[in-house]
Amino acid sequence: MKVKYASFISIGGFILLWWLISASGMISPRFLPSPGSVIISLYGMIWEPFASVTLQGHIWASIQRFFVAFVVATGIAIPLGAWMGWNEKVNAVVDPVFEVLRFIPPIAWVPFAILWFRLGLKSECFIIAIGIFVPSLVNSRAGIRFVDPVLIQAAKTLGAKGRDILWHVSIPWSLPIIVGGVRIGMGLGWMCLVAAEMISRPTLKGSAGLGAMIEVARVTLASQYIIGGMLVIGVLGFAMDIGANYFEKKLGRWREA
Amino acid sequence: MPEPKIQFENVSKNYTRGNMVVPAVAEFNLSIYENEFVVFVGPSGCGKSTLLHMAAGLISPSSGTVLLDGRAITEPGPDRAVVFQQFALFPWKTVYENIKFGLRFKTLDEIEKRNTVEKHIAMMGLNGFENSYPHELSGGMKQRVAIARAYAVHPAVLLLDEPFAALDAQTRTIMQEELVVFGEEERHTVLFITHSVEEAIFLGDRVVVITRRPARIKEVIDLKDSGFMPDRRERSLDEVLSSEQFASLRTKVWGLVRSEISNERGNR
Repeated sequence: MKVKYASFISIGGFILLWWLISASGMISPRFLPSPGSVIISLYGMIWEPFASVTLQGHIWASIQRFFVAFVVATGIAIPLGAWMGWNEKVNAVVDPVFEVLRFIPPIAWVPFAILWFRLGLKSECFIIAIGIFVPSLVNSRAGIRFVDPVLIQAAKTLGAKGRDILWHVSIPWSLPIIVGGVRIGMGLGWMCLVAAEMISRPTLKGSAGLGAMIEVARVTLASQYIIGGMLVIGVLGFAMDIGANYFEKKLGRWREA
Repeated sequence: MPEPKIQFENVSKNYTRGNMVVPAVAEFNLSIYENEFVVFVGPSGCGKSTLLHMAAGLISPSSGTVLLDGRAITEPGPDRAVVFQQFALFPWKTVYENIKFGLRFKTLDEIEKRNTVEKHIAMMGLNGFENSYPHELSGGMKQRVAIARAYAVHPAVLLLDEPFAALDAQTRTIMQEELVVFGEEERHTVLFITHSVEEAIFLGDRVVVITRRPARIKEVIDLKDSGFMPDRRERSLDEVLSSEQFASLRTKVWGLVRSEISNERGNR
């Protein structure tokens, strides 16, 4: 058996087991809908909206939120982390506060997110952004701080000074590490996204987003939509990670050997 | 007497480890003249690399001064390019880009830069590897790139810090011979650090034997005046190594180095 078929067997086996349990009638479909009903519900959602929004509408709404949060979070975290890694004084000032804040789970920010930004796009983006922010900053700082010192020495003896070293040595050297941090952050942020959307008290009338869709399905006891939403979230998150991983590997090609 | 190119003037360097002060270099005095190839040889960990790093401006002396053309060295710069034992190539840059790195900070137009890079690629036999990345190269090739990169900035003094120590014996021999050839093509003032007595005698105009820590001059052996094979640079390393003159020099220098190593043992 080739290794590459293993993933098909793993996924196939999982669905089979799920189907066997639901088909046996041991558990009511309300608590465990069959794989078939989930697929049919999702498929049907392409044309017939659930919670006033189609499947692609929910997906698009989530991706938009995620994208806004991603841009804001990495846009602040990467330069700030790099600055902290580059300048010991900046780090000394920012680090104590950051070290405390970083251990607060993003979800714990929900009450304040709602107070500050009210319910809606901004508060949800805020929660997601915190998830992306922390690992991005940590890796950006570590990457810049732990550049191979002999490379910096070599650059200096070849005429590089100050900022030249940052731009031409530290940043290129750290890039794969920074992308690695962003990748971890994206995973965290994606999980926060769903939680943020669920908390925003979605209603049947026009609450878009995969988390909102699950929340509405929970209230209406439409369990096939709950599992459907979970599946889409899992698949999209996985796809995103594959993309980020590819990017990370590509940037870090020179690290091989 | 000509003006020295590099001058160590009463140079001392102490490191602090916790409460202890560890002297690495003590009262070191030496002048290196234009176009001279000076080799520091001594037991490993004797502080000879510290001397080179001070000439490079990467570390500063605790007291005394290192001068270049009479001016105190305070910071690193391309007039004193360094070749490191660990190659220190930029792994995300190709061979071409690595060699071009130092030219970025010079006021040359693009054509001059390209010509300089291509000249040094040809000189080091790197044709066909321009677009390779360091991780695709052998140790010997990596060090060729590092040497080309250092030569390309046209340094007043070239500083080589045990450049061949990480290479296998065969590659090392070839590189030693080639370094001599480049030295003939483009006269340079060179400070070369090694722990290999053979390498020191083969390459150097002057061999400076360094004592164990703290580094002092044990003895200076002037090979230009000693009448030792003035044409050795045109011969192969094997030929030089098998000569009688070489054997007696080797015995002499090795005796000096060995006494430093056994001294250290005796003191422990």
